[in-house]
Amino acid sequence: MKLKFFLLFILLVVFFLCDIILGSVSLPFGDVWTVLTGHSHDPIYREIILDHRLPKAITAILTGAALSVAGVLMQTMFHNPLAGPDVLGVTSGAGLGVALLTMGATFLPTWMLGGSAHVVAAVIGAAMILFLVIIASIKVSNTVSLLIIGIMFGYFTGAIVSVLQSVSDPETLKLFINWTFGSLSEVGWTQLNILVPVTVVGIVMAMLMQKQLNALLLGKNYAVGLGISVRRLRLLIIIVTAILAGTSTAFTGPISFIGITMPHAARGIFHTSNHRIVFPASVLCGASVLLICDCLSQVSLTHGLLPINAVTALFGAPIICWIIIKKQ
Amino acid sequence: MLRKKSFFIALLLVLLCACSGKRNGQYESVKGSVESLQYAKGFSIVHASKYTVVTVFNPWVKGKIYDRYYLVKDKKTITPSDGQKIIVPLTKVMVNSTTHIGFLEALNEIDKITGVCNANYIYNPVVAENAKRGRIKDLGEAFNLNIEKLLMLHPQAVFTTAYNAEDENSRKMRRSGIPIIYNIEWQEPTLLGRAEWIKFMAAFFCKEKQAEDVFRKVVSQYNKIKTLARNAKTAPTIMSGQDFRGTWSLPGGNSYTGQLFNDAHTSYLFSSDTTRTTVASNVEEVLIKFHNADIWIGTDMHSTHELDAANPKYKLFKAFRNHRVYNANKRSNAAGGNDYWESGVVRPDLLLSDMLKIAHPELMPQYQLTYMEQLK
Repeated sequence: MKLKFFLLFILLVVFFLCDIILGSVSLPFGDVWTVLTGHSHDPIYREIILDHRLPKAITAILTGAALSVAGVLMQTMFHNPLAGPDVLGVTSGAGLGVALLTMGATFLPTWMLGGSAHVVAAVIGAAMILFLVIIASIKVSNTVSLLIIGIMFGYFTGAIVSVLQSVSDPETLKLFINWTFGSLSEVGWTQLNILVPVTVVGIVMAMLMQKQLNALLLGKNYAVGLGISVRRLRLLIIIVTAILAGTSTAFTGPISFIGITMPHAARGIFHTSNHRIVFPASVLCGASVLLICDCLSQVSLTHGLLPINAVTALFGAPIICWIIIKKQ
Repeated sequence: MLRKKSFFIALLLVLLCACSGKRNGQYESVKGSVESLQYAKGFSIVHASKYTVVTVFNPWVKGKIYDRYYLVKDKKTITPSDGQKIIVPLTKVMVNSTTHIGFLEALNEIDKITGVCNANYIYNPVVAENAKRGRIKDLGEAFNLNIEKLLMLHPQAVFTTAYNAEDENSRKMRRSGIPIIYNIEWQEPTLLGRAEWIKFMAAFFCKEKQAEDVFRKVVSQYNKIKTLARNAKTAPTIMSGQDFRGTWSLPGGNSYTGQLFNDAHTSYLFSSDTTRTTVASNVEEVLIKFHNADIWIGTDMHSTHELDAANPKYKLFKAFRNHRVYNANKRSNAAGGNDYWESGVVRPDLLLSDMLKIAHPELMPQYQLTYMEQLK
């Protein structure tokens, strides 16, 4: 087991380096190295590597880890292998926030629509939906009902977004569509100041819950028998998921499939559902896969970049099919 | 719960502070000879003794300045700190809107373009060809620039539309010393105001004289045609656009197209509407209000047959039955570039000529349509 963890870690380091070395512009390895070690003073190389690729790679690790852990939490809570961080509607809530900002708020000046305003809107949207989900979780004790309510929130927000899209002009529509593509490069060092602590706190909180989660995995009654307050645990799971998924979505836009598939990859590699193993393994898998996806998104088919959300889906969809077929 | 809430509030505050950054700086008033602008409201040019100051006003917040540039010929000239120093004439620039290409073409400066966005949507044959051959770099989608390629290309400046203003990419450009020049001509309320931004572009290439000449001719021609239009005895009714999956965008009364309708002496049902952009409508409303319109412009089709195949309801329009339907695709290429959005921005006189020729062909018997085309 230790060997597997070690190998996963090495892979993570390798992919991290790959993500820094490879980009849409090919830079000689030697130059990358001199910049990384602080011996280069070329402002352009420094900007590309230190201020573009490095924060992007760190964001990939954080987002990959956060979404995977959120995925584990949701799958355990709902006893459903296809649950992911977005089933609670937090991602759709963030989308609604951004949609309202870009397309609904015609009274807002356009200069407000770029950059960090997206993040604020996404956080407000996600927090709103989260608030509703928490109220629902207090009122509804049945987990499946809660899952349905979460999905309904998603549909509801999606419908509002569609209405907004139908009345928007092409430019603002494009601005929104672009957000739905997801982007790791929107995160610079300033944003990392928030993203790093929040993600770390979220993951640590999840790991602290591992014993209760293991009990929950064996069934609600078993957990109650062990003296665990399932209601309280559920609330905690929802909050941690929202912190992890909400924050990463706010900064990077929606990134699908990582959250659903990586917990399965982790369980598959270690042949266990024990959260003590699954959490760190999901962190490593999620971070590595998102790094690979980011490398792939730099491959220009046209002259631009592939949307990261599309690359993760290209990766994720076959994995989901595989899970379903294997379960037959 | 409470902890969670306060976390979000804290996060919000941090972010709100972070995003309200840049444009709160104080701008000093500039002394020098002010270049007189006839129509444009969005910028000013002041010639001081050691430099030229170009100021872009914030079109969304009245009375505020959006950005300021100090144009110097000598690198060593010291400029105030409330704007970006730009050494002119620029010789290597990236433009992220096709409208900028229109301006540069009119100034004979398209050879200074080293990077573009969405090369497929460029009409200008020289730029399109060079982009195809790789002599001009295509940096991808304007909303999602390939920032690494842009940094490596390292143009002396990037002309941008300010649509996605202060994003992480623009901070990266600034840090590596690529100034961003905001070309907000698309926020000008009038067509001639928009065309006058040629003077804005010209300042960065030291082509003020040429810009002055081009613009003077455009204004005189525009006004001549406008006067000519007043001789028309009738005002034909007009409509624009087509149904796109249930939505039909009509030009607002104050939009550029709305102004052309007015100046070409046509009768447009929404002419008293004050919208500067488009009015979202649907096929039902348009049918009821415009089925008797004499002229129909702004379709995307090439023939009435195509139009009919797209939606049989189009047959109900009088303009369709009388074959008075037009598109703006006369100067467009197969890839999707259309000169209507490029040189059309600089030549409102030609836009008006087209409109007048369509509305009152008897007033311009010799003129051949430039951008618009009658559906076959």
